[in-house]
Order: sequence, then C-alpha cells, then structure tokens
Amino acid sequence: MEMRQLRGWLVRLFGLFSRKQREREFAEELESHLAFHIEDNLRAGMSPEEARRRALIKLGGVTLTQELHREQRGLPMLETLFQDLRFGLRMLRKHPSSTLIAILTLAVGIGASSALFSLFDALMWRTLSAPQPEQLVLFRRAESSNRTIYDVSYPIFERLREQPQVFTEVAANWLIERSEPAANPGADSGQVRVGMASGNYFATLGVEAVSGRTFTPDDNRVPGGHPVAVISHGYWQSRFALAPDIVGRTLTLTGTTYTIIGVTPRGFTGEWVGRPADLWVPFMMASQVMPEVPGGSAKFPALVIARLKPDVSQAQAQAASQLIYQQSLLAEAGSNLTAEQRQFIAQRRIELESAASGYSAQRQALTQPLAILAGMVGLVLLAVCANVANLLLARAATREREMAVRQALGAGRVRIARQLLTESLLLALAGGAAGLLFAVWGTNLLSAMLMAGPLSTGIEDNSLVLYLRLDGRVIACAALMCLFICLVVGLAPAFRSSQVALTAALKERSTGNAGRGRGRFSLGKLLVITQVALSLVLLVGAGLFLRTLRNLQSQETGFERNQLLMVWAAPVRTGRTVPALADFAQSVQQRLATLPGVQSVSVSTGGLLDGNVRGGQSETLQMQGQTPKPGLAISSLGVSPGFFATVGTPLLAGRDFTAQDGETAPQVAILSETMARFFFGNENPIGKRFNAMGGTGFPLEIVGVAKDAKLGTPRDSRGAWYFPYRQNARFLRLNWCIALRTSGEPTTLTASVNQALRELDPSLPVLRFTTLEEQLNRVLAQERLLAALAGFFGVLAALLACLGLYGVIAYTVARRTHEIGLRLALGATPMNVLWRVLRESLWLALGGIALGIPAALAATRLISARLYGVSPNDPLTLVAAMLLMLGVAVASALVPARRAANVDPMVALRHE
Amino acid sequence: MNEKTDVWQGTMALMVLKTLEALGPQHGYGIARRIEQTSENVLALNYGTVYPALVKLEQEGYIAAEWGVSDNNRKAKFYKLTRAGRKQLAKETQKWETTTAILARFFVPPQES
Repeated sequence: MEMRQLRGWLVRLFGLFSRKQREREFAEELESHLAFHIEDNLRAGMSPEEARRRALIKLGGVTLTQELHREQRGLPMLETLFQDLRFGLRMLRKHPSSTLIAILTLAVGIGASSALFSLFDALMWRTLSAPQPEQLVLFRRAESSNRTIYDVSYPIFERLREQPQVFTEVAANWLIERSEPAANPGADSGQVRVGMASGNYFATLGVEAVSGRTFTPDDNRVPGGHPVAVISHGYWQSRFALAPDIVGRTLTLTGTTYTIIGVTPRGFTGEWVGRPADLWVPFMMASQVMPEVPGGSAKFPALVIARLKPDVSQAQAQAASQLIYQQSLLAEAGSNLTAEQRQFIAQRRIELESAASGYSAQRQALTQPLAILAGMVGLVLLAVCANVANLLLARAATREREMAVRQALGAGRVRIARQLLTESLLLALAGGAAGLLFAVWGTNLLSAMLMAGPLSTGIEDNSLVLYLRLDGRVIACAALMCLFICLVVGLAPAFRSSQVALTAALKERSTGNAGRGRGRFSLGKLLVITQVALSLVLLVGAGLFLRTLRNLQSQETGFERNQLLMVWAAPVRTGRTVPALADFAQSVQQRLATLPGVQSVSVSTGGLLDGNVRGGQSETLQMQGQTPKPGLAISSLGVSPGFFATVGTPLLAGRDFTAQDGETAPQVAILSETMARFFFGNENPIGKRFNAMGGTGFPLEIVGVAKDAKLGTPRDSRGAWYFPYRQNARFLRLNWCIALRTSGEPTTLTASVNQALRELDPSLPVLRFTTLEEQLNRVLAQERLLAALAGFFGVLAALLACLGLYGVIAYTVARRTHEIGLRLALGATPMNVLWRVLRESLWLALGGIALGIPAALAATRLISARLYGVSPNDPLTLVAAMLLMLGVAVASALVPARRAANVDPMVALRHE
Repeated sequence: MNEKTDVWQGTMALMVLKTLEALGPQHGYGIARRIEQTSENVLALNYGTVYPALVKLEQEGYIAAEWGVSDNNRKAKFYKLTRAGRKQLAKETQKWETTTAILARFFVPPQES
C-alpha cells in the first residue's frame, strides 16, 4: 500500500518535467469524451446546441476538470514554489544594486553572528570528545574568602579515589607548558603542553588509544619510575608526521627521556578548553616534569575529574566528597587543633561542577567581553534586518500596481504574501551563503586576536588556543538566522502588499499623487528611525571603547618607554633549582651588560606590564606597630640591583638594592608610592619594618620608596613592594623579564642578545622579545579587540542607516515631483525646496536620536566595568555620536535634495 | 432534499476499478456513464471528476492507459486493469464487505428477547 503511494508521488514528481505534453494529451482526451457524450445526446434526440450544452454541464466545465486533473497529476505546491522562485530571482536581478546591498549587509550580519557563535561554541558549549561527557564532574575548592580553586592537591585526590560508592573512576591531571630542548635548542618553538595524569585518567574519560595503549594504574606507582608518555593525535601529526612506528620512540622533556606507548584519538586534547594537551606522562613523573616545585608529590597541584555512577546525582556525590574532604583535612592537620583551626577547616568546602564541556581558567574572565561582543552583534543583526526590510519595503512600494493587478486577476492574499516571502527567503539564503564566507574570515580573526593574550609570569600560560571551526552547528545557526531574518524582513512588506486598496492603486497611473506619500511610507520611516537609534548605540559604545583604549595607551606607566628592550624567558625549564637560578640570573645580567649598545641590564620576576593582575590583600602584610589594614591589593616583585635605573622608575626616597643585599644580608624592601602612602600616610616609611612571608617578627626593612609603575596592566592600581631576588629566590621559578636599557633603537639588539643567551645556556627557552609599546599592545589585546569591533560595527550600522535614509528620502522626492514642480512654479526658490527635503531627513535622524540616547545610556551602564578614565555617560562621546548621525542624515539626503531643487517646473507639471 | 448524493474520493476509485473489471478496457466517458447507470441515477456524478481518480489510479499502477479506437471509429484513451489493480480490487472489495457487514449489524432493528 505505502509502496503504491510512494510510486504515485514519484510519478507526480516526474510529471513536473513533461507538463506541456501531458496537458495537450488531456485536452485531446476531454475532446474525445465530449464527442462521445454529444453523439449519445444527439441519438437521444437533442438539437446539436442542446447536446453540446448538456455534455459540458454534465462534465462540470472544461477548465475546472483540467484544473482538477492538473492538481492530481503534478505537485501543485512545488510547481507554485518553482514559479515563485523563478519570479523572485527575476525580480532580484531587476534591481541589482539594492539586491547586492541587501545580500552584503545580510552577509555581514550573519557572518558576524556565526563567527561569534563558533567562539561561544569553542569556549563554552562544545562537549569533550569522550563518551557520555555528562557523567563527568570536576572538583573545586571553595575557601572562606569566596575564592574558587580548581587545583585540588594530589593527596586529597588519592583520598577521593578510595571512595567508589559514588564515582566509577576519579582521575587527576595537571597541565603545564614545557619546552623540549632536545628537539629545538634555545628557541621556544619546541614548547609542548604536558599533562601529568593519574593511571586511570584515560579510563575515566573513556578514551582509548588509536595506536599502542594508554596508561593503566600500574604506570603510576613509583615516584620517578615510569618514563612513559601518551601523545595526542595532533602532536603525532605535527611532531612525528604521523610516523607509523610511533610506539616505542622516545622524546626528551626537562632532562628525562620518555618512551611513547600510545596515541589518543584525533580530536581528543584533554579536558582543558583552550589549552590542548600534546602529551601526557604519569603523575608520578611530576618531580621530573616540574623540578621547580619542591617537596615531592604532596605539593603538586592537580585538577581532579571524576565520572559519576549512572544512578548517582551530582548533589549526592558532592555530599559524599565533602565528608571525605573534611576527614582528610583533619587528618592532615594532626591531633592538637585549636578551636580557631577547627573552625577554619569546617569552613572549607569541596564542590562539584559538570565537566561535560571541559575546564577553562579563562572562561570566567572572558564571559564579560564575550557578552559585550554578543550584544554588539545582536544590535548589528537588528540593524541589518531593518535595512533589508526597508529595501524590500521600498521595492514593494514600487510594485503596488503589479500587486493590485495580480489581485484583480484573482490572486489570493496568501498567494501574494507567499511570493514576497519567497523573495526574501532567496535574499536571506544568498546573504547566508555570503555570510558563511565572511564568518570564516571573522573566525580566523577572532582566534588570532584571542591567542595574542599577554604573557603571564605564572606557572600557567594565559594564552588561549581555541579550535574555532565552522561545523554543522554553526552552519545550522546561520541557516536559522536566515530563516528568522526572512520571516521578520519579509512579513512586513508581505502584510502591507496584501492589503493594497485595489481600485486606488489601479487608478493611480503614476507616482504623481503627493497627498498619499506620507502615510504610505510610515513603516519605512519607523525602520529608518530604528536604524538611526541602533547606530547611535553602537557608535556611543565604539566611542567609549576607543576613549578607554586611548586612555589606557597613554596612561603613565611609570617606566621610561623609549630605548627599553625586554626579553621574556622561562629559565626554570632548564631544570635549574633555586640557588642555581639566582646565580644564572646574575651571569645573564653580567653577560648582557657587556654587549655593545646596552647601557644597563636588570632581571625581574616579570612585572613590566606582564598582564598579571593577581595580588595579595593588604591585611596579610603585617607592619610593625600597626594593626592589619584591609583595602588594597598588593603585588610583589623580585628584582636585581639596578632594576629601577634600567626600567626608568624613579626612586622617590631611600636607596636602590645593591649587590650587598644577598641571601645572608638583612632582608630589605622598596615600597611603591601607593603602598607607602596606604600604610604610612605622610610619615616617612624608610627604616620601618614589616612581615610579608608569615613566621614571626618583622624581618623586612623598608629602604626606599619608588614611583608607582604599572606592573600588570595599565589599569593596575595595586600597591607593590620589591625585594632583591636573592633574598627570596624561589620566585625566580616564575618567568623572567630581562630588561635592557639601550643607547639606540632597542629592536636592533635582539639578534646579539639571543646569541649571547644561547652561549650562556642553549636550553634556555626565550619566550619573546618586546618593547614597552608592544607589551602594552599585548596587554591591551582585549581592549583593542573590543574597540576595533565596536568601531567596525558602529561604522557599519551608520552606513546602513545612511542607505536607509537615502532610500526613504529619495522615494519621497520621487513621489512628490509633481508637488515640488508646483511649488517651484508658484515661486519657491530651489534653496527652499532643498531645505524642505533636508529637514525631513533631519527630523528622521532626530527621531532616531531621541530613541537612541536612552537606549545608549542603558547599554553603556552594562559596559561601565570595561571603561577606563571615561564615564559611561560621557557627554563628549554622546554629542559626537549625535553629530555624526546628523551628518549622516544630511549626507544621505543631499543627493535627493539636489535632485528636488533641480526639478524643472514645466517638466514636472506635464509629467502626469 | 436532494436525493442524488455526491461521490467521495475513496469509493470513486473502487467504483472505477469495479467498472473496469466488469466492462474490460474502457474510456473515461464510458466509465463515468456506467457508474451513473449502475447507481440507477442516484449518484449526481460530474463526469469530469472521474479523471482525477483515473490519474491517481494510473500513478499508483492499478490501471494502465492506452490510446485506441472505439467501436464507432473514434479515437479515445482506454483504461484497463493491471494485475496489481485486480489484486487491489479484491482486497478493497473484501474490506468494503467487511465494513458494510459490520455497519449493517448496527442498523438491524433491535430484537426483543
């Protein structure tokens, strides 16, 4: 039965192709039918006329029969669709310029949205490539101070693992950037991301090797005893060119040689979003991978990920884990606890969160800029819709007569609306296709900008490696958007055209009737006003972001900008331990100071616009003779003697550090101006003592006060204190900033500096050479991205508003040619006419501004946290944006206004 | 009240098949006429409505069409049952009989017990 029906549909589908022939054949069949009937009627004694009449009546009408036959034979819906499509294409081709503009604007709107979608997808939504990712959970520690920490120590992990009631598996992993000196001496190109994984890590995630095997618990028993590695598919490809004999090969990492035992499937890069792992080694190798962390595995950080049992809820698992956590904290603390300590432990909680879409340290930091970006793109999409709707509306207006004729010939309203919707669907599809091209470009741009994050001095690298890709979901998103736009944009003109007043439209032989022009186009005017308002919001946002960027760029950094070269290096990866690092720092300083063109050299543990914004709270510092004082974030920096002179930060009081301030000498510190004033007001801080490292007494003596400098970002308002790096050498495990004061152009020295560093130690990873200007640009990457995108979208929206205004004004002028001619004939000057047209455009713009200002004020409140040195209600920006929109209004009305002023009264009056 | 009833789609197909079984190959006019006669003019049949039914049956492969010449030498398109059509007719006939038999029981006057 179903087969037969299917056959029927297929025959009908193919029937579409031989329509004419079948039509002819049926006409013949009907002819013979009538002939039979007439013959019978004649035989029954009717007159020839009567016979024919009766036969026709009995048939039910030739046309109706043909119609019924046609409907059954073909697929009427499809045929109409083809008709509509053909006609729509013809209409679009008839107005190539407006079609092109519509497609291009749609492309920008859809492209921007798709690019943004792919970014959200990569950072927030994409699930891990592991089976049943929804069962995976991450542990995080919540401390009393509301900080959330994902690093759960390895001993705690081991206790959690021994509780199989709620989890099928509990695994630990910690990811770290290392370089592979054996592969690429000196340079940083050999950098790899190494995961230190517990033996059941891959089993927990459910990932199996495509070649060789993954770890088993037996690979993670003895500290330092398992030199084996599992590599990712990507690393197999990039480093080993997919060599088939990969299992059994070796690689060297911070002095240890590992045997490769397996490769993970393509697409699996671990659970850290934005930091794809290249290889994994057993957690027991942590001391070998991270020689800078002292004290064995107890001190190693670990991200703990677990798979819930199918019938266990996250809340149950969390309650069970909390119990274990408390027990292990109490066991760790020992038996003689004070009430205070007990209370402190009781406050510590461990929580679970879904790990279905992985873990990212940056997710939280990027949420706000991404939300702003999404807001901007949403506004742009609205502006695009308004623009395309306006174009279609204008086109529909010129087709009123055509629509009236169609209705008069019997076309239903639905039929006409469908025709117009088909046209807008065509536009949306073309725009969507072009938009995907635009999205590819936008996606690449976004990922490039995201990767250019600042360099952190911490153990973790802050840059983000996201695989933004245009997959099926992005394309589906674009397609949905097309459909949405098509409906929104197509419905307005469709609705209007379907209620054309028939006789009026037919009688109206030309566009000469001025009186009707006003009410007719009100929807178009409303759209234009909306466009102006949207552009204003975007322009105000762009202005504020630009001013923020400018303020940040011109912000006094506290450093002498020119003739300063900075070399960022990660000496800890050479495998040196603490005392050796201090000696190495000294030899680097001495060696580089001998280079020609170098005036002075200093080494610090980062600190020159390094992008780091973390800082301790002021109450943790204990000033002698003062009670703890909260209210200021404070960072600290280990520096070499000569640091202040080299980077150009003036000392306001006291002395600089010298070579005498060594490990055994009395501990000394230099305070930033802000920190000195915070603790001591106008008192002289020199000679005062404080405690910053815990323990008893006040070992640090303040020997100087330095001018404030932007150690992290230009927004930095933290206090800071400096110490001689030898007196706290463990901080040398952070990335170094080697600063060189040069006598000439700093960048000309990079080659000789690189050469000198290689001579000192070929395994030293040099991360990058920068000037202060470059460092500023890196740190401000997000600000630059926001300013650039806001500027681009603002200008785009303004251009679209310009087009919209032009369309409306030009249409009005065309409609009123007759009236204008009359006015001119009655003595109006061309200037009068020009002004009348301009005034109309200005009124529309003012309407848009009146709508846009409150919207802009509401929107800027949302972005106030991102602004710097400028109020969200900055009058200058608001006025500039308003003036710009008025300028746009004048510019877009100028051409039609001149056309109106140049109307020849005689021609216009004769013109019907 | 109009005594003559309209023919609805499904039964039309069955009537056409039954007619073709009875008459052998026949043209559209012949079929329409025969249906009307068989119903003893109770059916107010517009002859034109036969044609969509014929097209549908042809699409589903139950009947086949061929141009030919009638007894009085007139060119006409003749429809005949295919093998699938005969099977379908048997099936539909049985279904129809079952349905009517069931319905008939509902219309039997209630017997006194």
